[in-house]
Amino acid sequence: MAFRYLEHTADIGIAARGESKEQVIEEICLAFTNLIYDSEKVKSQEFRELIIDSRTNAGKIVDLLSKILYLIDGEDFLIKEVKVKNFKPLVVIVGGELMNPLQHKMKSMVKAVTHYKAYFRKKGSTYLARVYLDI
Amino acid sequence: MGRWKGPFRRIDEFKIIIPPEYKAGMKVPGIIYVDEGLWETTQEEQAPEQVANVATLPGLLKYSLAMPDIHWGYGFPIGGVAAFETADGIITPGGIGYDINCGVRLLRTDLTLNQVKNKIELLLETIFRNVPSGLGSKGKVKVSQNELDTVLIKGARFAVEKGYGCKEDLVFTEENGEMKGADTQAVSVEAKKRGFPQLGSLGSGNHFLEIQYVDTIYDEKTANAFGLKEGQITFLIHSGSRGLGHQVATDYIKIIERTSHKYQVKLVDRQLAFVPLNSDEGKKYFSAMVGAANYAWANRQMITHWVRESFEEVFKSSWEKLGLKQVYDVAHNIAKIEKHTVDGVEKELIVHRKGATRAFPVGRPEIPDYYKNVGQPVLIPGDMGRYSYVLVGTQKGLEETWGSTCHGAGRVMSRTAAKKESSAQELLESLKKKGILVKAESRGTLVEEAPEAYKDVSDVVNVVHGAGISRKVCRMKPLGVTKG
Repeated sequence: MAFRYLEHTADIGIAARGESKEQVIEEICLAFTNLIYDSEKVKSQEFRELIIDSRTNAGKIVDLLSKILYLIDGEDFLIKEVKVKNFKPLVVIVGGELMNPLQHKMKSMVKAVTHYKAYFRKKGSTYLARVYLDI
Repeated sequence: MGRWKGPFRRIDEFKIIIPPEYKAGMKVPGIIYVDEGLWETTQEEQAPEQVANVATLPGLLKYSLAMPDIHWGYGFPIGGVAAFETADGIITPGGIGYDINCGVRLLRTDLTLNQVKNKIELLLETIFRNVPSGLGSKGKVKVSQNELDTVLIKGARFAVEKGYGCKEDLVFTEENGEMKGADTQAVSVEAKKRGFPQLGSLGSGNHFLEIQYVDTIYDEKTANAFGLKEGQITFLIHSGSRGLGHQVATDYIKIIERTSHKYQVKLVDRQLAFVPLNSDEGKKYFSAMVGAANYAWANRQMITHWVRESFEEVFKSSWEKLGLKQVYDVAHNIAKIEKHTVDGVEKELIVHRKGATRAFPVGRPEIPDYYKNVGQPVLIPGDMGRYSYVLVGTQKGLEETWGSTCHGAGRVMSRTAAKKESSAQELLESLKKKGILVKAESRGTLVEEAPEAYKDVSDVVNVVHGAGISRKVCRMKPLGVTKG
């Protein structure tokens, strides 16, 4: 796993790393969904395209995860896989299926994705991203 | 995050001041209501820095305030209070929080501890079955698009008109559960989609339902006026605006961040992004926030109804005969337009309370007639292993804190650390030994919410009582708790 969860008094953070921009985005998305539900039993049956119009790199991560949170909470769509199609503007394809309460297990409630200490940058040859979530 | 090492001066036993010279851009001092003990804990994280950051906001009146349950939040600290004039002031989502109108409702009964103690388990199971709760929980109420818009406008009144509760409940709810100024067009489609299925559900995290009994009375006259007496069974509901409110906050943080550069103020923290209240964005955010607040009141109203049904089922009597009446319902994440006296002149202000409760004294028109001779009930939930309190608003609070006080215990331990402290089974057993039964949808959430993860609410309440910004009326002890 190229991500870890970060401790915080009331909430929780995610830090991810990757060899490319695409990889770090995919890692942080999967770390995020894995926090909210058990993705083991989720299948990629349906694909959706997410277009993120944020101006900053950190904003791209915050807005992408916010959109994924909306899909989970507002459309009951659980994501199994994430593929970055384009970076400028950020276009991401997510594969997953509609939630089935008998099959899928929810793990945590996330209220929102915050801009607190959020970053998305390159350090040496590694790309790094971090966000904190309001739980 | 590191320990806060900024300058401060103790004003008295119950408050400290952060001087405006501390940080460039501070326009007013910061005041934190804390005693020595709580101040030690408070300095362990950067929440005092956030009090100083809030003091840099343009037009902030008097002080950047924080209550003794202060802890780190996004933008404002939790426990933060700030007021601006409506004429030329600002509004900031960072001063309200993601869970708009997260709040507390207290019901009283005519039942006593002896009548209930052998039925706690059955009551908990019944409530757990009747009130949707837990991760990803959906409400039992199905509403149409038009009806959801009506919820945003009418709040708790929508629920009462649909048969959930009675008109008297509205009288005993802040804003009568129907804050004016909602605009359904200002609430996004995404927020509504998150709100549709969740209407009439408790949620998860720190939200809970609690059967309690009054174990100590501090102010007999006021307790009488609130219909509370020693040994009486009470019921506390803690919930908010669910995904709808969270999405409204997310949407407007983005909009306001993109807009705030127009106002040419260098932000010390981008999560304090603001717009003038009277700008297009400010008006829209305020009216969307009001819609979310009304959703939360409708939600707590529906939960009240199912709690009453649960009591009826267990005690084989109507809720009216059981005396299951509402004491009050307070919001603790909200911005409200209120009249206050500033340097001897009455002005209309927008008061941001984030993890803080309105606590108005005798004489304020916002208080129900029934309580006009004693003041507004203030409901302070604690953790599930200790106590909750009922306080009352005071004149001193109105003068010092825009009529605001604390909202709860305040978290001190991370969720991961809480999970390492004890297992769900150990926690359930230790609470059972104290006479507290707990039913939880998620064992993970349960341990995250262990009593040790919170400050002792009695320490918090003793500060606001000692400082005189609200006054203790009575204390309740938990008997049974359901958590999502």
